Amino acid sequence: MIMPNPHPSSAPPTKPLLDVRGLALSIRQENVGWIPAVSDLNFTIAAGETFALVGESGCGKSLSALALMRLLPAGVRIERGEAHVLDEEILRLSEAEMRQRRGRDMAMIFQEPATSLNPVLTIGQQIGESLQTHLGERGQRLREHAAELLAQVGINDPLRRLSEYPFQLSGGMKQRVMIAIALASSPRLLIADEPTTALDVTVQSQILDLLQKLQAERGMSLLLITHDLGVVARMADRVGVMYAGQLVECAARADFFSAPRHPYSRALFAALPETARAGERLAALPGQVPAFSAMPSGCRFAGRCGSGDRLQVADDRKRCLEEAPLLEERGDGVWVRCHFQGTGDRCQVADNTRRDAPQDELTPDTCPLPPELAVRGLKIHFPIRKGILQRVVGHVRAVDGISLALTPGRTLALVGESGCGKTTVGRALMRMLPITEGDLFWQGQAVVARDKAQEKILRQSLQMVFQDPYGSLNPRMSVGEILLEGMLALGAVRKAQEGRERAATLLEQVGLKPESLDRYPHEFSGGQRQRIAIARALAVSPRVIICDEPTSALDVSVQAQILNLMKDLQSGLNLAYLFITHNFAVVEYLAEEIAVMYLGRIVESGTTAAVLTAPAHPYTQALLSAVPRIEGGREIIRLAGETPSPAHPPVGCHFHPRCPQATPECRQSYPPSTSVGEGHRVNCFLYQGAKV
Amino acid sequence: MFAYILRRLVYAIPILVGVNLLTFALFFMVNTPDDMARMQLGVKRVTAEAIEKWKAERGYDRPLFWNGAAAGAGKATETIFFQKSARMFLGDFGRAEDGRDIAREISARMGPSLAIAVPTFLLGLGVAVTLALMLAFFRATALDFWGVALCVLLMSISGLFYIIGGQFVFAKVWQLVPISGFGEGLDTWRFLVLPITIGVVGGIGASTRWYRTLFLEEVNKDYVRTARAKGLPETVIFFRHILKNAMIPILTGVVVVIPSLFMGSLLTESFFGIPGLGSYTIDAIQSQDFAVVRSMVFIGSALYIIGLMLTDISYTLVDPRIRLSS
Amino acid sequence: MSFQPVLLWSDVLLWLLVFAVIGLGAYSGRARHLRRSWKRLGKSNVATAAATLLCAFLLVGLLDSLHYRQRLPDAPGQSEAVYAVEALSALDGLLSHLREHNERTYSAPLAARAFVMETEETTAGVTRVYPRLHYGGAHLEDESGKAIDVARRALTGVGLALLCTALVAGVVFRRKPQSDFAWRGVLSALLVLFLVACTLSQLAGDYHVFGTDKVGQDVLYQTLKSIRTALVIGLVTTLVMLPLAVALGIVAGYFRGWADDVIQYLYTVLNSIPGVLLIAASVLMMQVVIDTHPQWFSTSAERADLRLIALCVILGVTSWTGLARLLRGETLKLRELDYIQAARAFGVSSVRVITRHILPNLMHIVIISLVMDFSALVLAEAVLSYIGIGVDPSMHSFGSMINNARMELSREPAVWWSLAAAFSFMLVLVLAANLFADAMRDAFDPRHEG
Repeated sequence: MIMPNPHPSSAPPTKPLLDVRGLALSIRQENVGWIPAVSDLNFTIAAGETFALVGESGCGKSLSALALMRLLPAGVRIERGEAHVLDEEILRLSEAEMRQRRGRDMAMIFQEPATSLNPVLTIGQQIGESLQTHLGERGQRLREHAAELLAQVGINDPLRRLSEYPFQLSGGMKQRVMIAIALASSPRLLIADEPTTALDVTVQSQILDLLQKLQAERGMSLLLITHDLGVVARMADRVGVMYAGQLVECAARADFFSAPRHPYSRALFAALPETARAGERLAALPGQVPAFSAMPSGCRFAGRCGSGDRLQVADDRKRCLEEAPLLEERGDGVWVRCHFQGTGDRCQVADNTRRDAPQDELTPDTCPLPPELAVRGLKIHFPIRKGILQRVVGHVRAVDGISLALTPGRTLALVGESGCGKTTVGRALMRMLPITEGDLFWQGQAVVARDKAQEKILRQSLQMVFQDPYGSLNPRMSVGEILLEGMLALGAVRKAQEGRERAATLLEQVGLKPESLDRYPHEFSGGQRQRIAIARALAVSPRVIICDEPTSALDVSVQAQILNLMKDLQSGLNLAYLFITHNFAVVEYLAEEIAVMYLGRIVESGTTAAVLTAPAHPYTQALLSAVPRIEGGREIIRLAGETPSPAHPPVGCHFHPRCPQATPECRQSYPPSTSVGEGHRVNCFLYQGAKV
Repeated sequence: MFAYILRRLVYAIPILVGVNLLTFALFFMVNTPDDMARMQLGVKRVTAEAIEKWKAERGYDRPLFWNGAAAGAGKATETIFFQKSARMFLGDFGRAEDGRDIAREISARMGPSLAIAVPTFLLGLGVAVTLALMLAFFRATALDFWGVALCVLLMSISGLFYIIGGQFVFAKVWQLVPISGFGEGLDTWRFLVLPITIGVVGGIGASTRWYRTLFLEEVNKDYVRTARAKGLPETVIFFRHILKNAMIPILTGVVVVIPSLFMGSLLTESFFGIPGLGSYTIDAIQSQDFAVVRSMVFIGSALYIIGLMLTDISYTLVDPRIRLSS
Repeated sequence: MSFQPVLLWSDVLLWLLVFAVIGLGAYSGRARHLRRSWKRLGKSNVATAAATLLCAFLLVGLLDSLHYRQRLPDAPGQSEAVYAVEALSALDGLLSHLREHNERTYSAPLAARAFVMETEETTAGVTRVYPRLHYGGAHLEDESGKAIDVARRALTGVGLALLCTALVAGVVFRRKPQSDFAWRGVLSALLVLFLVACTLSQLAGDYHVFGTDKVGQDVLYQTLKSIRTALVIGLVTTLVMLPLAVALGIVAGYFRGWADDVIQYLYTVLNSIPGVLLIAASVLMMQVVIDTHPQWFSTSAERADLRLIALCVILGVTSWTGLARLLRGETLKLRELDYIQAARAFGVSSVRVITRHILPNLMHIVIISLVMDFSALVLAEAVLSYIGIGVDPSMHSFGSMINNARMELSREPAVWWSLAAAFSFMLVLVLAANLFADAMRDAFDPRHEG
C-alpha cells in the first residue's frame, strides 16, 4: 500500500523536520500475543511548526509519541515504519545512538509533572544532568546555564531554586522545570504529551503561553498531544485527529476548525458542551472506541458513525463495514480517512449529528420554588498540629463561610480551581466530614445534629456521584449488590427480589441493560461505571444529588452522554443538583446558577447567563478568559502565580496578590458582598463604589 | 528537629512501661514464685522451707505490688514489682542464678556480640544491595530469573543448616578455622571469619529478593522515563536516579535493627561458643534463669524502641521531602 | 472393636483447618474476583507442582492425625476390653514395621551392619566387630549381594513410579482437559513423588533407608513423623493469629481514634520485645504451668500435644502484629475510597461496611501472608526446638532431629544421615511453600486485574 504523505499544500519547499511514514505499533496482550495498536501513521512537522495530535484516551496518540522517542514501555513494540528527524531515520538507530539524539535533537515533556521529576534530586541536579550529558558542561558554567534556563521558563530567583527539591514547587512550577530540562540542550523538536492536563486552567494558560514564547524564540517544532480541542485551537498550526490507532483527519488549523471533514471530528465538536445552546441535548456519540483486540476490519469508526443518512443506504453501509478507507487528500492539504467525505463537502460544525428537539426551558427567574437544601455560613476547618504535644497551632480553612441553596429541578454549579474547597463543600453536605460551623436547612427546617428521623430523611434525600468512576464502585461486588446496598440500608425495599426488580428498572433508566445486574464493575467502561454510580444514587429516590466532577475523568464524547443523562433525569425527577466542577463549558450547558469559589469562599454568584456573559470579579474574569475555546480570539487575562495555601490565606482580599486590579484597600480587609444585578453578587471592592 | 526527637522520646516511655508490665505479668502472675522455686529446685518433693529459702535469697518473698507491712515509701518499694521490674529502668538488673551481677555480665559480653553482629550486618547489607541492583539491572533476563530462584532456594534453608553445615565443612573437614571459641587480640579474626560468613550467606536470599522488588518498583516510575528522555545512559539512570530513591526504604528499614545488634545473634553465638549476649540469653533460657531472661527482654525492647526512633530520624535525614518540610 | 479412636486437640484443629480450607475454596469458587485469581494461579506450572508437593506432605500429616489406641489381647477372666496406653496414628499403623524394627544404636543408611563396633564372644575368643543389624538387611544370606539387591529394589521402584505417573497422565489426558490448567506441573511433581515413594517403599521393608539414630530408631520413620509437627505449627498458628490480626487490624484502620491508639500501642509493645525472647519467656512460663499440673494429662502424648498447641498459641499471639499492621494500613486507604464513602452515606452499618466492602478487598493480602507465614513458622520451629523452647522432647520434629544430630556430626566418623534426612525433607517442604507463596502473590496481586 502506497501512502501519500499529508503535507500542507502551502508547505515551504524545505524538508520537514520530522517525517513519520507508515508507523505501526503493536501491544502484547496476555493469552493473545501481539496485536496491532497504531497503524499507518503518517505526518510531518516543519521546522518551527506546531502539530497537534488530538484524540480521546486509548487512541494511541501517546504511544506514537513515545515511539518517536524510542521510549515505549515493555509490552509495546514498533512493528514497521520510518521516522526521519533532521533527515535521519531514528527508528533503526541503536540504543546508544538514540540516546545521543534524545534530549539533544528531540525532547519530551509529560502529563504528570508531579511524578515526572525525581523526588530526591534537586532541580539543579536534574537540569544539570542534561547539560552535562549533551554539552559537557561542568561546575560554575553548568550552574549558570541551569539558572539561565530556569529564568527562561519564568521561574523567579532561579539560583535559589536550583538547590530546591521538586516537592517544594507547585504543579505549574514543576511543569516549568520539566520544560527547562527539555530545553537544556536546545532540541529542534519538542514533544509535549498532554502538558497541561493535570494543571488548573489559569496555570494551563501560563504554560501554553510559555511554550508559544519559547517556540517562537527558538524556532523549535512542537508535537503537541492533547485531548482538548480548545488547546489545539490556541496552539496548533496543523491538526491530526486520531481514532482507534489511526489518523482519520489531518488539516491546517483554520480548515479543521471551520469545517471538520471526518464524521468523528465532527462528532467531537458536537459533543463539546460549549457548542450546544443551553437546554439542548448534546450530540453524544453512541458506544465507545473499539478495543485494539477487536478492531473492525472495515472503517474503524463505522460502528459509531451517524454521518448524515449515508449509512441508511445499504450499499454504502456495506462498504464502510467491509472496506477500510485510506487517508486521502481532499484538496487544500486536508487529508481524510473516510469513503464519503468529498472535497467540496464543507459543512457547519456539528450540524448533521443527531440532536433532539430542545426541551422546554425554564426561565430562571420564574422559579420561586423554596430550596430543598440550604446552607448558611458553612465553615470547615482542619486543625494543623505541631510540637511535642501535637497542639493545634492553626487551621486549614478549607471552607470559610459559604452559603448555598439548592432548588428542585435546578442545578447550582460550584466552580473553582483545585484546592479552592469545592469538593470539601460537597463532602460536608453529605456529612462525610464534620462541619466546623454553619447552619443546614432541609426544606426550610434547620437540621439538628443527632436527630435520628431527620438523619434518615437526609440520607435518603441527599446522594452523591463521585469523580473517579474506578474508585466509586466496589470491585468485589456485582452491579446488583451495589444498587441494592443503599435500598436495603435505608429500608427502601424489604425483600431482595423487590430490590432486584427496582435495580433492573434503574439500570434501564440510566441506559444500561438489566442483564448487567450480575456483572462486576471491571467489565464496564468508565462512562458505563459512571452510569452505574448514578443509578446507585437514584436507587433511594433522592431529592438532591451532589455531583463532584462526575465527568472530568471521561472523554468528551462520553461526557456528553453522561451530561445528557443527568439532564434527562433532572427534568424527569425534578432533582436538585449541586454540580462541583472546574469546567466552565459544562457549567454553561448544565447549570442555571453558578457560584465561583476561591480559597474557601465564594467570590461571585449569580445566574449562569449573568456570570458567564458579564463576569464581575477579576478572578472570574481571568478564569473565564483562560479557558481555551475553540472559537478563540479573546483577550486572555494573565494571572501571576498560583493559588496560595488555604492554611495561610493572604490578608485582606484573598485574591489580591494575583489580581491585576488590586488596590491598597484590597490588602486591608476582605471585601463584603455587593449586588451587581438581579441575584448577581460579587465580593470585590471594585463594585462597592458603584453601589454607594 | 529537636522537638521531634523529644516527642519520639516521650512516646517511647509508655511503650517501655507496657513492656515492663507485660513481662512482669508473664513472669510473676501466670506462675507464683513458689512454682518457679519448685521448678528451679527441680526435685518433685521439695520442702516448704527450701522454697522459702530460695525465695528469700532472691527477694521473691515480698508481695507483688503493695507491701502493707513496710513503712512509708517502702509500701511501694519493698515489693517484687518495684525490686524486680521498676528498678530495671535504673539499670539495676539484679543477680543471675549463679549469683553474678547481670549488669556487669551484660557489659562484658557486649564486645564479642558486636564483633560478630556489626560486620555481619554491614557485609550482608552491602552484598544484598549489590546483588539486588544487579538483578534489577538485568531484569527479565535469564540471570534475573535464576538469581531469584537461587534466592528462594537460599531462604528456604533453615539457618541451623548454614551453621551446622558451615562448621562441618570448613572447620571439621577442611580445618581452615577453629570450630568454635573466641580469642583475644589480633588472633580473634580466625574465630570470626566463619560465623560472619555464615551470617551473611544465611540472610542473603531473603534480603536480596526484597531489595530487588524495591528496585523494580522504582524502575517503572515516571521520573525514570524523564531521565531516559534526557538521553542519560542506563547506568547513570540506575546508580543516580533509581538507587537513590530505593535506598530510602532500604536504609530506613534496616536502621531499626542497628541498636539490636548489641543483643548479638542467638544461634551463631551459641554454636560458635562466642561469649556474647546471644549465647548468654540462650544459656539463660536453657537453664531457666528467669532473672536473666527478664533482663534481656527489657534490654531488647529498649533497644528496639531506640531503633524505632532512629528510623524516624533517619527518614528525616535521607528523604528531602521530610527533612525540609518539618 | 479392636481399637478405640483417640482425639487429640491438635488432630481436631488440623482437621478443622482442612475443612475450613475446603470451605474457603467453595466460597472463592462463588466469589468471582477470587476465582479469577485461582485460575491465574492454576496456569502456573510452578504453582501446581508446589501445590502437589504440599498436598503430599499434608496427606502424610493427616494420616498421622488419626489417632487410636489398640486393644490389648484379652487377659483371662477379663470382662472389659483393655486398650493400650500409647496412642498410635494411622500412619504408625501403616509404618508399623518401621516403628517397631529398632536396632540397638546407630546404623548408616542401607547398612546391613551396625555403625559401632561391639564386643562379640565367639569360639575364637573375644573380638571387636561390626555386628549384623537385627532388621536392616537381615534377609540377606550373603552380604555381598546387598548392592545388587538394593539396585534391584530401586529399579523396581523406578519402574512402579513410571507406571503410576503414566496411569495418572493417561487419566488426565483421556479426559482432554480444555482449561489451561497447568497439568504439566502436577504431573512432574507426581513423578518425583512417585519416584521417591515407590523406591522408598521397595527398600524400606528390609533396610533402614536413612539409617538409624542413637537409640536405633529408623530415621525415615522419624522424618515422616516430623512432618505432622511442622504442619501443625505452620497451620494451627495461623488459626490463632488470623482472627487477631484481621479483627484488630481492620478495627484500628476503620474506626481510628482511641481504638487505633490502643491497638497500635498493643502491637508496638508486643513488637518491641525480641520475638525469640517473648516466645522463650512464654514457653518457660507454660512449662512451669504444665509441670505443676501433672494431673491434667492422662498420657504423655496428651501432654506433648497440649504443649504443641500452647506453642502454636504463643507463636500466634506473638506474630499477629505484622499482618495486623499491614491490614490496618490498607484499611486506612480503603476507608477513604469513594465506594465506602458512598456506603456510609447510605447509613450502612459499620459491621456491614467491614464485611461487605473492606474484608473482600483485603482477602488477597490475608491469603498471601498466610502462605508466606507458613514457611517462616516451619523454619522457626526448628530454631525454637534447638534452643529448647520448642515442642516436647518426646515429640518427633525437624527441630529435635537437628538438635540431636548436631552432636553426632562431631563424632568420628560423623553420623550425618539424620541431619541430611531432616534437611532434605524440610527444604522440600519450605521450598514448595515459598514457591507456592510466590505464585500466589503474583496471582492475587490486584495490580494484575484489568
